[in-house]
Order: sequence, then structure tokens, then C-alpha cells
Amino acid sequence: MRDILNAGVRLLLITLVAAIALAAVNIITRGPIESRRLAESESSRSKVMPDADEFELIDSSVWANGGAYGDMAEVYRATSGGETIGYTFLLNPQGYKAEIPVTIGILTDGSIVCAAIGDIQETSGLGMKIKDEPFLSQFVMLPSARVSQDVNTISGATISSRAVKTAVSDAILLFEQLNAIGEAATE
Amino acid sequence: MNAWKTIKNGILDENPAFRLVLGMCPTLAVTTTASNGLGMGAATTFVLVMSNLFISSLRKVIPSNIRIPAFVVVIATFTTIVQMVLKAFVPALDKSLGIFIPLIVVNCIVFARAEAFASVNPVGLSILDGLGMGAGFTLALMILSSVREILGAGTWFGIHIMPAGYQPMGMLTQPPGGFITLGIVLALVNVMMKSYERRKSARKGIQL
Repeated sequence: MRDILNAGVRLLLITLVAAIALAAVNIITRGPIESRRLAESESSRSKVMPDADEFELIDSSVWANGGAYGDMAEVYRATSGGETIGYTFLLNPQGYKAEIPVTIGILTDGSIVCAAIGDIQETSGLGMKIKDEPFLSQFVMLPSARVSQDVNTISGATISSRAVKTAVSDAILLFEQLNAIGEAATE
Repeated sequence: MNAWKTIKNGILDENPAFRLVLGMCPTLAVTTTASNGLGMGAATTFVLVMSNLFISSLRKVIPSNIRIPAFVVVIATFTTIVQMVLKAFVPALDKSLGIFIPLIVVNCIVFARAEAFASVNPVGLSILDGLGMGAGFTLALMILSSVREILGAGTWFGIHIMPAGYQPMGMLTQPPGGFITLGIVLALVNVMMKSYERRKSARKGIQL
């Protein structure tokens, strides 16, 4: 009994010291981690909507009705000089290995500005190609109705490219609804 | 065992990856680029040195029946510290190493050194053992990842070094390429170590 108690108390002390050390490190690293995450999503938003000077987060309660928009994570209204010029959408569809963060910018007239891929872990030489020009440039200024016909998937990377295509289509679906709401509100 | 021998032991005689064949999971998984290999080696070395230091200094107060959970707590603490620091200050490395940073907790090298060396040796030697083992592991990762990156992608640390006409062997950066490279490098290291030992014993024979 005494042995068990003795061992238990020592283990408790070790874990206590470990927990305090981790808490201390966490206090130091929490700030930089959070600001880096924000800066990353900020920079991908400006990339897909270069003309906007402000982004306003649209609360998910406005659009999240029963998960109809796939892996939608964040929607921002992009404004320039106070006027809405488009929306940016962040989706995290499942890729071949892990989730693929896709940011898409759509102008109010329904054309896609471009899509940007965040940090991905797809197969190098195959799925990784979705980050490159020949694939991503297919989305540039593409009318939303033509995504399914006009975007070619990369051979050998069907799952990764399809994930991006589906994300773009989901973003377009939501865009159409947002645009409808927006127009109704201004009229 | 003196200081230099302890370090050399980790790099050559008991190189964790090439001689003890420990820690094969990160060895195969992260050695796709030289910078990944270096980053993984450095992270593992840090955890090795720190866990050896603490386990060695606590070796008299940890009763042997709870030593395994105590080691796990110490190792997990330092692994988590590495993970948080990388996330905050070297995010690129954190992203490319991904899940293999938290998996240092269950790296057999770290655990084997805690159990076999740090828990029965003084603090100074344990730190040196951690350094030697870490250096040996880093060296092994560097060799493997350099071969795989140069032949598999034509780059080294992300810089193009192969002639423009070189067609990269993409397979080498894939898991099968990892196994093939590891097998060939292991065989070469064994051949070199054998001839080194033969020469050493031959020299001893002359002296006798």
C-alpha cells in the first residue's frame, strides 16, 4: 500500500511539473500560432480577391442550413470602397491524404476570380500538381456554369483535382444563394 | 566509457538507424527532402538530449515499477514543446513534418536510450549519449533524404542541382522509393563497417 502511494505521488509530481512546463510554453507560442493562422487566411483571401480593400465575415448561421454546401468553412464578403464586389469562400474538402484548404473568390457577376490552395499533403508529383498553374489557371475568370465541363482533372490525381472542383462548385452554389439574399436586401 | 566514445558510439558503432535499425517509421516517412530530414533529425535530437538529461537526473527518485509511465511523461512533454515551438516559429517545417513530430513520443530511439542508457548513467554522459544518438540519427536521415531528393526530384534543400535534362525518378520520393533507398544504403553501410572492423582487427594483430 505504502509503495503504491509512494509511486503514485512521485508520478503525480512529475506530471504536475510537466503540465506547468507545457502551460508556460503554450503561453509563449499561442500568440504567434494564432496570428500566423489569421495572416495565412487573410493573405489567401486577398489573393483570390485582389481588388477588395476589406473583408467582412458572414456568420455561418446565415448560410449553414443542413450542410448543403459541402465542406464550407468560412465565407467573407469582399468590399471595395464600401461596395460589395464579391465573396470569398474557404472550403476544406477531403483530398487523397488530408483535407485540402481551397479559397475561392467569386465576383458579384458570378465569375470566378481565381482559386488558391492552402497547405496540402497530397502525393508529390501527382496530387501536389493541383497547386500549380495549368490546373488552377483553369478557374481564372471562368463563368460559374462551366466548372463541370471546362475544368480538366489532372491524370493520376483524380481524387485531388475532383476535391478542388467539387469545392468550387459548392462555393458557386452558396454564392448564388448569397447573391439572391443580398439583392433582395438591397432592393 | 569516456565522453568521445559515447558520442562516437551513437554516430558509428550503434547508429540508431543504420546499426540498431530503430526509428524506421520517421526514417522512411520524412526523408523525402533534405530539409525534412535535417528538421526531423534536429527535433529528435532535442527530445533525446532533454529527455536523457531529465530521466538521468531523476533516475534515483523514479521507482523502477513506474519508470515507464514516468519516461513517457518526460518524453511527451519535450515532444509537445518541440511541436508548439515549431508551429509558432518554423511553420513551414511543422507543415512538412506533420504527424511525425508528435510521433517522436513513441520513437523507439528516444525510449531505448531512456531505458538502456539514461536511467543507469550519470547526467553528463546521458546528455552526450543523447547528442551522439541524435547526431547519428540526423546523419542517417540526411544521407537517405539527400539521395531521395537529388535523384527523385533533382533538387537538394529545394535548390535545383541536377542538369536541366535530368528526368527525376519520382518513385524515389514515394514510400517504395524509401524502402529501396534504405535497403541499399543499409547494405553499403554494413559493407563499410565490416571492412573497417576487419582493418581494425588486422592492425591489432600486427601490434600483438
